[in-house]
Amino acid sequence: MKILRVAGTVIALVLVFISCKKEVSNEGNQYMIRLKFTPTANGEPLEFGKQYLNPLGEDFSISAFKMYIGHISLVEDGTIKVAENREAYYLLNAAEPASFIVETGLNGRKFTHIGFQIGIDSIYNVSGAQAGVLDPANGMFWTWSTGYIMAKLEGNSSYSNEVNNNIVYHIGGFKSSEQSIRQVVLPLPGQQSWALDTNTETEIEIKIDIDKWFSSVHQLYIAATPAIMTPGAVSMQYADNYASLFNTVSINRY
Amino acid sequence: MKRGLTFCCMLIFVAVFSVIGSCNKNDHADSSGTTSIVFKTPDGFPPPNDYFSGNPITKEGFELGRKLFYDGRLSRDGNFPCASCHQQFAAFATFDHPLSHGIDNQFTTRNAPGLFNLAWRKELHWDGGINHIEVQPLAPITAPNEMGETVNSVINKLNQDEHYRQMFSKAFGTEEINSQKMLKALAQFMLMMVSADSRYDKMKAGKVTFTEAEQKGYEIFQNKCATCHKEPFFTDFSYRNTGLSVNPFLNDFGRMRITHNAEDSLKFLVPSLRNVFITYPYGHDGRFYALSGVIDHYRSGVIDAPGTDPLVRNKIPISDLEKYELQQFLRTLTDSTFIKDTRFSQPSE
Ligand code: HEC
Ligand code: HEC
Repeated sequence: MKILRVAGTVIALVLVFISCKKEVSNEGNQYMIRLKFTPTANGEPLEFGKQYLNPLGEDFSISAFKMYIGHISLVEDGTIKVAENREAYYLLNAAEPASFIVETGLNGRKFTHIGFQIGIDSIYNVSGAQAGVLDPANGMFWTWSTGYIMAKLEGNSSYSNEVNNNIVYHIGGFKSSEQSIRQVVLPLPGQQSWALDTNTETEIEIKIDIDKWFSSVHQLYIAATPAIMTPGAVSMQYADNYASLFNTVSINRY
Repeated sequence: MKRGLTFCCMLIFVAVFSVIGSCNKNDHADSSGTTSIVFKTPDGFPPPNDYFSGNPITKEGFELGRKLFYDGRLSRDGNFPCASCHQQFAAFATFDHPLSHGIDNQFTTRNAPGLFNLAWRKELHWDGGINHIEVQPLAPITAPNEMGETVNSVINKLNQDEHYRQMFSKAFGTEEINSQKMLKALAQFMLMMVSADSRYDKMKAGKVTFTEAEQKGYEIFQNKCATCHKEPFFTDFSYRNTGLSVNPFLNDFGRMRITHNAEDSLKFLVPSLRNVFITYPYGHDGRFYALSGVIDHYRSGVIDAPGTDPLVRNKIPISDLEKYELQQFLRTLTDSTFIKDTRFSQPSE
């Protein structure tokens, strides 16, 4: 009989080692949480075609702003993910206001921060044709050098020497040396921690400050880089900047 | 005791497999009513890459892909199907054109390669910019100088065709047409294009014997060319700089555009030489009209620059007789079964 006990232990160990690897569990009851993004420039809600000034003193206007986010998570103490939805991606698109309202189901543990990822995991960049929000028809895919465009900003600036003073930023890159995926963790206003439950709806309002696209971690002058459409070192600097566009304004419980 | 052990082993075995099974997310609901097609690996070929578990090949998917490949509606003006640049009688290269004609009287910027044995390719295009066969068609469809279309417009056109709706439904179980299904169908068609029945293959299988010139040519090839043009694919799938001058109109620096690494400047994919005799012109920009010109390049044309591959830097000594023999050998790589295979020809209706 001893041998059976040994066998049992072995089996248990083997099972533990090879069972599906889950980074953060999102099991148990799921509660809806809504993120409501508001894109702004110069402190006002973004309007296409309107003249703005970036923090480096350069004028610009915007005709397109799109960004992939995903891996929405609840975070405790700013570092510990307590629940995460790794399945769903969303395409924020300034041409479609409804796209700025994002809902996901998450396990209702205690949290103090909200987290998400900008960009699409490398696996979806290397596994062939995808559908839904990842459909290349959404115009966020490089066809001649496979990979998703994680974020797009297009418009005009008198500081651009491109045709028609265009500014064109297509930022992406999923290989480790060109990584443009960035993690965002935002503290929620107030000191207390929150939990999701059935009785209250939770909505988090997040401001996107497009000014910081040009100047936050790096100072990226339009005059120096009016257009970038490939992964690489420059793309990665814009990625550092786009990770800092976000600010939580409020958490609303209904 | 011994029986106990066997029993334990079996238990472990079963447990392990049940867990592996449960972790496998790729469960493909039997899209009922489809007939699967078995992909056969030719003798002497290694196993292909796994493009199949995510996109099992079926008769219905393959036929849909075939129809799409020959359909001009994938291009903006209706005149440029994939098959306009990839012609079966030229092993799916563009016959007799250094660069191919695209929409609005434009030309491609590279020579269209033959299409075959794609299931063994991890990367596609002369610069390796495409990392999966399913996403390759997006490049020609959207390129302004090739098919000049948008993905949405193609999907709309397909959606308006009752026959396509039926074919998509048969192949993938739902009538909804989206880019993913279109791309998977095209991939099924192209993955099945296997070329492994040339005179060379028959010689390898002991079914024919080479002439003396062919045999000599094969030996020269093995000595001087096969490191890069490695059997059985006649490419080692690497990117190399063979000391060609830069075309001042195209300014194509090859692999560097993809890796942004200066060391990859002027490196291009080592092309397969299967069917090479019928895929002329040659080189990434089609600058050589005949095999003789390519061989002359290796004999006397190679530019010795810092990036030139050490294997060709000092040029490859080849006598006129050897050049003749090499060409005789290269002709044995033509697969006339493949270029006449009606599975890949234009569908009738
Ligand atoms: C206007 C001409 C043209 C059309 C139309 C065209 N191709 Fe191509 N094809 C090319 C050229 C040129 C290349 C080489 C591109 C490169 O290396 O940058 C190519 C490369 C390819 C490759 C990669 C081959 C290799 O060995 O790397 C595949 C696969 C392919 N085409 C499939 C298709 C499919 C499927 C379609 C239709 C959706 C299509 N092509 C339409 C010209 C064309
Ligand atoms: C250093 C690796 C290397 C060696 C050695 C080499 N090749 Fe090549 N070969 C290439 C590459 C790379 C290309 C594509 C060049 C380009 O267009 O930029 C090519 C192109 C070709 C082509 C044109 C094929 C087409 O479809 O366009 C032929 C034919 C060819 N080689 C034959 C040979 C022969 C014969 C030998 C031996 C005498 C040889 N090669 C030796 C790397 C090599």
